[in-house]
Amino acid sequence: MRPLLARLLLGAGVLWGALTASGCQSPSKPAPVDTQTRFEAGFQDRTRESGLDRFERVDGSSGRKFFPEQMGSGCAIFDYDNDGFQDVYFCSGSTLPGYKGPAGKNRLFRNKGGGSFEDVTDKAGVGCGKYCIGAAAADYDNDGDTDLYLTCFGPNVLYRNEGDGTFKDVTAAAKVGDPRLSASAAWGDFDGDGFLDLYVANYVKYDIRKDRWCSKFAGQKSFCGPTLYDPGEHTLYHNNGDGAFTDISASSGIRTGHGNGMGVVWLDYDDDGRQDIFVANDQSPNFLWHNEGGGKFVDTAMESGIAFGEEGNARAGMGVDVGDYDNDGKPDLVVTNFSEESNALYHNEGGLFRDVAMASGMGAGTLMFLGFGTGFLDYDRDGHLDLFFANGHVLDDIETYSDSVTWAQAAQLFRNKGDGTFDDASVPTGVSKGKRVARGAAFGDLDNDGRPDVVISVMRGKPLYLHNENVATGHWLGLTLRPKNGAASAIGATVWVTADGKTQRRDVRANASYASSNDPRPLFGLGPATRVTQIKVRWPNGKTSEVVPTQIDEYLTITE
Amino acid sequence: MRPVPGSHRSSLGTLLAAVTLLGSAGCGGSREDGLAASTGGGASRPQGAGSTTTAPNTVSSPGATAPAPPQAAPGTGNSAPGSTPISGTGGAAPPAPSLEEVQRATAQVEMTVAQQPTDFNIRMQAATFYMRAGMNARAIPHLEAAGRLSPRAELPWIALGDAHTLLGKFDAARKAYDRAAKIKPNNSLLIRGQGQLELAQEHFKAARAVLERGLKLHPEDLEIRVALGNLYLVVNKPRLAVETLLPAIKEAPDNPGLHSLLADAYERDLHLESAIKELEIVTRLDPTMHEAWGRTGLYLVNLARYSEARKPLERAIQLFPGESHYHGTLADSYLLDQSSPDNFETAVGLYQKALELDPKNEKALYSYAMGLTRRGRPEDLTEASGLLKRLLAMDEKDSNVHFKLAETLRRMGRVEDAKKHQKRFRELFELGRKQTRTLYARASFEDTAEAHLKLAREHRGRGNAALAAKEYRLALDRDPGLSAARAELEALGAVAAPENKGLKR
Repeated sequence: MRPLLARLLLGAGVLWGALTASGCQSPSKPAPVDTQTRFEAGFQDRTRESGLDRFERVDGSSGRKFFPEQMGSGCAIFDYDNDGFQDVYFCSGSTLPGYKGPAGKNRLFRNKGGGSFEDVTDKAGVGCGKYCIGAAAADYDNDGDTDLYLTCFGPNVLYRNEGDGTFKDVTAAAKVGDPRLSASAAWGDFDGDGFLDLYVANYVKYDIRKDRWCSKFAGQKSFCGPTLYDPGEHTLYHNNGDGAFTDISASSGIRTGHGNGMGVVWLDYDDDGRQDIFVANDQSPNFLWHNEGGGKFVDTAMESGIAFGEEGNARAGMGVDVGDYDNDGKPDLVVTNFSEESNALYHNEGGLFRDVAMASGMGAGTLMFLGFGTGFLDYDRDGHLDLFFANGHVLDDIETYSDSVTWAQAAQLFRNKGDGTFDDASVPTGVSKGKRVARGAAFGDLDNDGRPDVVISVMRGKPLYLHNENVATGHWLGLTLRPKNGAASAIGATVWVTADGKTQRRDVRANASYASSNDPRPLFGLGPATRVTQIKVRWPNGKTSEVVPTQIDEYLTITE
Repeated sequence: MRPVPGSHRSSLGTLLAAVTLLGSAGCGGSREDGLAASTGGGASRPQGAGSTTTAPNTVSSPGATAPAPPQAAPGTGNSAPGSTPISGTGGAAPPAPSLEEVQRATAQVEMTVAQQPTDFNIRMQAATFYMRAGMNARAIPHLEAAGRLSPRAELPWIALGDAHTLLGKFDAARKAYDRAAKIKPNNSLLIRGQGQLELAQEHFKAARAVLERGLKLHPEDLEIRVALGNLYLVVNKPRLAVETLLPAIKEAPDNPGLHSLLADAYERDLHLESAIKELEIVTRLDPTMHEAWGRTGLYLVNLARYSEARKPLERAIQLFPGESHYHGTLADSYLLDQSSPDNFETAVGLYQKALELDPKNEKALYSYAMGLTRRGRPEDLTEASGLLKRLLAMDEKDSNVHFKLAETLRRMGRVEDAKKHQKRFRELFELGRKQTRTLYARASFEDTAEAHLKLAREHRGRGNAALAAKEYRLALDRDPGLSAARAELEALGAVAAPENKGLKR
């Protein structure tokens, strides 16, 4: 355990100032709410009205079915201009041999408020043009604005946010241009030095000149699975604090693992005060890199019970997220998997995990879907984290040899009943409307109304923006955390909020799901509770703060 | 749930299941006691609902080791007793004769032959009688005599080949067929018999060649078609099986056995919805086919349509209460459906019934154990560990069971015991991973221009110009400067040219 340093209790005056600054709702006595969730409005597709439909993802396909095509891309929700509204970034693929269409380009959309977005890609200088897979947003240089790391087929890219609405490609200077076929990346501070380090989950060792031919139907080429290639070597970069990074993959022990890396998250699963790393691997055992201290990591996935699914199969891990869904104080994990494999829900039993997906009632409903993006979110603000899955098969010809699994698939939402089990709420909430070949999904409160929204990257074509319009939901509290080191968000902090005698935990992270980044602000549904009796923050440096807020149903800013 | 597709089903078992539906004498094909083994074809076999699951192979046809028999009795072209006719209503066959009836008939046949030993027709009728009764060895002298009496007739030799095949005397069968081939090489019965001979020896490549040739010569021959469709299933070509069987269905739309076989093909081709539709036809044509009800339920469970699965499974149980797999699958439908708190206990009761009927029902043992570990009370874990140990006693190399047992023992606090199973799990897992990788690697290749050029040349060498042209084009797509590919494609001439016009991505 890191030493607990002096606790800092913030006064109401400080909070009030922060509230005013962030332009949130004026305080008023919270009204009683109907805690019986109603779904008249549900999630609404606001892609067109918002202007996010101006992005169209390109996969560079020409029928040759190069292996990276099936990976799709992710997206990011982050506030690039610090105006209090979360913006949206989409990754696009690009040209591959034989492709004749328009070149792909990533897009940054500035949230203008009022539900509309403007394309600021060119002004911001983040179009990239490479074959982009994932986006990991975080403030790596602690200058108060959020930077962007892109995973690519080809060398990865680091864009430094210049703080004036523009970004600068600093990949070479930062020495983070990992050339491997990367899927997801995530920022986390493993050594507590106040600077975010970077884990890059690489998929397979791939050379387009040696792309393999697989055929599932009548001599036609199909996409190959990852096991036909050697698994990717993953990379851990240590942030030197001077704008440059050092590749410590070998010295840290990370290079000892070989897995088809897809999703990655940082978490302190054993609450020892050090950030660990979980990697969802595709058809190879997952990694759980335990942070041993001293810059060393050991894969404890096998002994922790998280390397495999419930039955001991190395499943096709895709996306991942962390959340304490049963409010027992320990972070649990959700991992999306292939069709005919249920998604996994790894319940944390004190450092040991057990896949309780089937027992929770969620697993069986996911068997026919191939999940990618995923996230814990309390969409109905009842104080229990629900589960969202963005689905889509990898095989674009699956329907030629299956009549029960489709390429395009509906999204799914499972409502947490509060007793450790889930109900499929996909239909009543409207998230299952329409089928898409979804990949990354990002979660965030795009209109600051305390209801988490969802943005989904689609394989070929326009994205999907699901605006949360569920009505008569519970009270809520959102937090913006300002650490002392000046970083834009307190990645690695843990927050406990107590209301009505119940305590919820959130671990602050931005990068999760599949190749995506989420709104880093912890958002708590409070159900019928009309006041919060305590907020406790454990900052990334181990210090703690305790706050008693006077208001709810708004975003509070807490400064270390 | 364990993986569903029927990889554990034995090829011979599958083959025989189809042969049975063809209406063969195969039910009693290996028996020499004078009794036909079955009158109802496949319908009377205790085939589990889990016949396409990883459950133990439940295709336990009497005579399962017997070679696949020919369909027609010698010289008549008629289906043998106990068969399901290819055409017609598909109704149940007449009941089997009693032992006394057979004995009386045998005496009568022998007396008739003794009276007219040089009559070709009498000899053939005698042979027909014996083969229909499954007494193939006794048919042989009559067929040999008939062959001697009429050396230019091919039917005695074909039937002789059939009888030897049924008896497992493959060399003798081949000699008989060779004699027939000298007389009439393209006879459909001969080709079918030759195909069955290869099948019986599990010479699948040769059988495929024979039957494909036969179907080309006799596209109207339903039995060759069905045998070939079935062979495609055996060699894991379900799409080809579907394509081959569909025309047969058009010819015999009311044959439940054919629909059942097509359902099997669809299921293996991952077309569960189509499989269910076929099985609905089966149960409409013959509501007593419990196997079809059971499979319908199983597929619905696999599609996560748990409540829908129950009615067909309950019907299967009603028709055949002794089949453990029906109870186990019905239990699955409750275990996986958490819409009611009572479902778990219902599932437990059904698993217990399944295991009472068949204590070695692996699938029920495993699913029951999984259910108990999910509920997770101390007594559940203890019971689950016992079930898992029973599974290991049956198959020590089941990595999933080692994994689950390790986890269960760990939860029970038996850490050291858990470690042993975890270690074994890792060994088995690594072994399986290597095998899978090797298998996948064999089935793929580097998608380069050179690789396609090589394939093109192979196809050209085998005389398949269309496939060669396709590969040449793929080679040129990868490397437009590959002059050898261009030149050889042009040399293919007329075959290549029309396809070029249609080449699109």
